[in-house]
Amino acid sequence: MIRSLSIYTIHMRSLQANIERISDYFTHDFRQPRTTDIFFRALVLYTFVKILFIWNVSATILQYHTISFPRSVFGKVLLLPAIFANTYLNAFYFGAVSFLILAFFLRANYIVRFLFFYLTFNLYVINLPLANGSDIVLFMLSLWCIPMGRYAPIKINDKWHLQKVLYNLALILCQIQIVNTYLISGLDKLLSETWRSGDAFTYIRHLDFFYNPVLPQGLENSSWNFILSWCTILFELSFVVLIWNRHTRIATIVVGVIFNLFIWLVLSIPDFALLMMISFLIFLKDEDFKALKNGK
Amino acid sequence: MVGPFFYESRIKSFSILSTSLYSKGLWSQVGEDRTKNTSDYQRSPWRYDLLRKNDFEEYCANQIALFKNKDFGSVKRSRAFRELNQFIISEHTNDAVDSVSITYITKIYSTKNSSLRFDTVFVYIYNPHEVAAGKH
Repeated sequence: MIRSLSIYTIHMRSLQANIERISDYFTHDFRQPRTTDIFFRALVLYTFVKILFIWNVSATILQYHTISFPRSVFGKVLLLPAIFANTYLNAFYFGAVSFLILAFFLRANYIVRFLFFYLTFNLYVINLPLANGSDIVLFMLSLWCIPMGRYAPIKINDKWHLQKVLYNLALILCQIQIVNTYLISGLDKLLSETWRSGDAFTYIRHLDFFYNPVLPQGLENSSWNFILSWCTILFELSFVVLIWNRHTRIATIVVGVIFNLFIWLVLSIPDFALLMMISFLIFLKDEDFKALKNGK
Repeated sequence: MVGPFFYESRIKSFSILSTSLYSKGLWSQVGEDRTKNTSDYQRSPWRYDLLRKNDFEEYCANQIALFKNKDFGSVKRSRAFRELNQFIISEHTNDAVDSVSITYITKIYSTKNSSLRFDTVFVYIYNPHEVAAGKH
């Protein structure tokens, strides 16, 4: 009886210690503040460059395309920039570019982060007929950036620091969402006979408007296609595990960058590949940036 | 939830819109804009806008494909058709166009016999002046 009680006590203490550790993780400090700042600025820069590249084609398309707007007041408020852009596209893009320059150089407070998300969401709506996966990923990542703000400091009380909890939670959830993207893609490929056999790359080779014949023997060799297929599946599935481990994190990111450069060059999806490379920034630690700055 | 990307059905087949315009008593050469835009982009990688034009064309063609088996009257009144019509004409010529031919084909590649199978989604030959403007 005494023995079972003591085992119970040990388990309870262990559980209590774990809860305190998790609670401490979320409430003690802002985790990786430098990383989240760089991540946000990289997204801002990406959006800035993207607007410069699509401005012209977007203006052409909007000569013919009418954006659909919701009838509710909430919907109209949500899409106010898109409603404006429907009539004054150049003025909208000029404002957007000016805002992005400010957002890049100024300290990104909650208002700037919210406006950035608001802008990316409206960009998606404005350019819906031209949209691809990268536009959805962009406004999803920009949504996570809102609670990842640290300014202005809001102190509720010393023990329960809501601002830190939201910040740390958003950081973790953003990382989980990126990992989840690779998990879903990896599992889908693993369950597909076309991918397991390597035939997927033979099919990709025949996608006239994707495939760029830059590789020697461009995906004609079935053995190479088999290897490439399994490299893709293994990378996507192992990313889910290896990105969390401090010994394999950097190597996983390096492989991820190579993987996305391949997508950029061979599959002609530059915007998606670049955004996925930027998303890896959120897995870096503040120490990594310090080491990079010191040239170590 | 985002993904999966490059799933099986997405890579096994792809659709191409072919266009030809009748102007000054002649039909222009049938062109596949998506393929041309992609190869132009691959030669000039800064021309990212060409890839987005492809996305627009695909978006409109897929919307029009939803009208399959319906009479042409309802097809040409659809927003996607009006937008695509204006887009095609402005992209190809400054001259007055008398007729337009658009063909949307799905190409399905077979790895067994290394051949392409074609499935026509729609073919329309029409007078562009009878189609209303895309934007209100």
